[in-house]
Amino acid sequence: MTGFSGVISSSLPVLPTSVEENYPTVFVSQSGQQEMEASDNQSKTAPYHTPPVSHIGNGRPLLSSAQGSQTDFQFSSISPNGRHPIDPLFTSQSSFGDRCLPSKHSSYAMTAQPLITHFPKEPTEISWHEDALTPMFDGSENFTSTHSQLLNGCLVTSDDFSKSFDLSDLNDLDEASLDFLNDSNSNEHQLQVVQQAGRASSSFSVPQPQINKSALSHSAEMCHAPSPSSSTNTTAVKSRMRWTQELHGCFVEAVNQLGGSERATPKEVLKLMKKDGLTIYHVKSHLQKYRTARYRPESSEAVPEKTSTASEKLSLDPQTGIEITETLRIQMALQKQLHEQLEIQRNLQLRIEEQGRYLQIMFEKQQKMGLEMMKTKSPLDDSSTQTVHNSDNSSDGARSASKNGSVAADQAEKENASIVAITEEEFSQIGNKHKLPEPAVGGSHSPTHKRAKGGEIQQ
Amino acid sequence: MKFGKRLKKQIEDTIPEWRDKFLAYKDLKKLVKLMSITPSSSTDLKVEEEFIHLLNSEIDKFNGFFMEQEEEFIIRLRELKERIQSVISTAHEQSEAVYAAEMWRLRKDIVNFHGEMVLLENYSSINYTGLAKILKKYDKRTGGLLRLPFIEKVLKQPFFTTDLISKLVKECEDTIEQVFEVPQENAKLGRPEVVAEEGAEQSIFRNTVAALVTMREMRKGSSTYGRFSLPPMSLPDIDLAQHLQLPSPIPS
Repeated sequence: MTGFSGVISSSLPVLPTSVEENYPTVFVSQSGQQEMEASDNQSKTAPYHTPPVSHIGNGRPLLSSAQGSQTDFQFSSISPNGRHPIDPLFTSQSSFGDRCLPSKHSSYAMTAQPLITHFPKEPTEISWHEDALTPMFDGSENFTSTHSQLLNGCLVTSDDFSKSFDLSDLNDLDEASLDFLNDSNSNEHQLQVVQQAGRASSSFSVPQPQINKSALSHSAEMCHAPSPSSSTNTTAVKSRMRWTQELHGCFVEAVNQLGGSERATPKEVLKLMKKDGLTIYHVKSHLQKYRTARYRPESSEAVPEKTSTASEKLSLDPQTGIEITETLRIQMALQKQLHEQLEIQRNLQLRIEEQGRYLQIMFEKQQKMGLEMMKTKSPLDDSSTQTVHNSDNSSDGARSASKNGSVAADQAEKENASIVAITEEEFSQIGNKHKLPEPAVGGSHSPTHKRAKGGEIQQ
Repeated sequence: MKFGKRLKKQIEDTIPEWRDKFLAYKDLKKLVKLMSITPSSSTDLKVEEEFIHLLNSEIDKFNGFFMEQEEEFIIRLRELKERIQSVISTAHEQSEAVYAAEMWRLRKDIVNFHGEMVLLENYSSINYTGLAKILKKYDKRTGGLLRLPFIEKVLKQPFFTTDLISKLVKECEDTIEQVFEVPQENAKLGRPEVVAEEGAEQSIFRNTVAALVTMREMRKGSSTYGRFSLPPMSLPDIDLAQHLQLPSPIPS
């Protein structure tokens, strides 16, 4: 049930990201916005665009956009047994048939993996799970893809997909599945239903070589921890669908065709929508939400004349209408401001991390360079300590240098907006390391020390 | 602990159903404290494991909650838009009073809806910040390098990829302008209904203010202003709003 894998300093095995919860998504076209946000070339490493990285660990070429998260690959490169570096949360980006469009584009970073693998409890479940995982793996973090083609485009056109995983298999199980779904404690059953469906399909289309099974089973063991989420099922087997406006629009159309929200049944809606990867479970819960959303406003509208004592008082006062408007306006203004600030803050946070990563890389490079030079030149003991300017530790140069990376990254984080300034400073310091005597570096020390000291910014 | 306190305050002020969905910052801090400074002993490994496990499960929690909310918002936005259309188009069929009442309700609903969405963005932000901070603390304590890769993962999580919500918010804002521009019915006839949602509205309002205050505090007081630093947030309305909070704006 873990959502993440983390590389840790100890030899603790890297947990692959949990495969249980996957978020197949159909994407909305948010072209303008996201492109802008991640528009820097540098943001190749930003969430929406990761540079293609050859997939280490299981040796297969990346499918769509090699934008399976880069960090995933970093992880996998570290783990010795090539643990499958999936980020299962995101890998099952059901691009709804995007398989047929193996694009390199980050936004396509989903394999048309419709179903999510749930972390199997019993060994028998692993087989399906693994099969399902393989294609999923490449799905990347790119949840909110900028490109919506998936959604409208390929749905039924993905031949291999529909062959391999025929929704009709699922529909055949409808009765059974509905019973299961009705039982809130039966998520495990759901899993089995899903898996039956999976197995029912002859070949869960696996274009890629099989993944490392041992890694999977290993991870399977790891993910049994109870989920603190509100899900009743401790294995959190829910397959999450990340809805988009387009998908919802498609849903509404289907419902209307079927005679309205009260009349439509999940099964029919599902059939009408014809979206790969969408399960009856998704539709059912969505339909429930939809009904609730429609019911409440309508019921309150049914009694427009209802007044509480308070509003009776209000209605007597001609001023009140204006007051209320004002209150609403103030509330609205505040909310708008909060929204704006949050967006700004978020962009900053993204940039900070980018810069941090960049710095890290630079530091590591410098470190290598430094080490090499140390072999050749002895008086460079000074220069290695110069690199420690940011670090709290003064021990050996290598360790400090690597800490520099993270410490520098952390400090970059502290100065939200002065990222660029940091970068320039740091690099000039590094560049000067070998050339300039102490004073110059000492001179540039002060700003960094100030940063270090004043660094306890409340965040 | 400053962040911890602010987080706590926000949780107090937030929409009641959301209260348990926030980051378990305190618990994570406790785990960090358990870690020894020198590299791993055997207990260290266990603590580390627990720490990571808790982080992961928190993230799962965020994702799950966030996506649920997102889904609901998508539905509700569409419904609101339809409702507006229907109210406006049937305006001529109804008495002024009824129409006015409906418009009021609509306005209120839409503003609250907007507020909820923004609060979800805030939810995302504050949890992210908490994660970033706790990871930093962890690395600082243990000399480890957990933070950087982990935070990169976090950046890609659904709960942090808020583009869709952002888009919904903007659409909502556009829609709101439309609603408020509608020919102003006679204010005297307006009967804003004080319905049971009063509580929710108040908590949205309170939470919004709390969030803004938190952000402002977090962003001022940096001793390391550079050329590129953001100016401190100036929110003239916020003081007014804080005053408004004390007496309930609408008697309930």
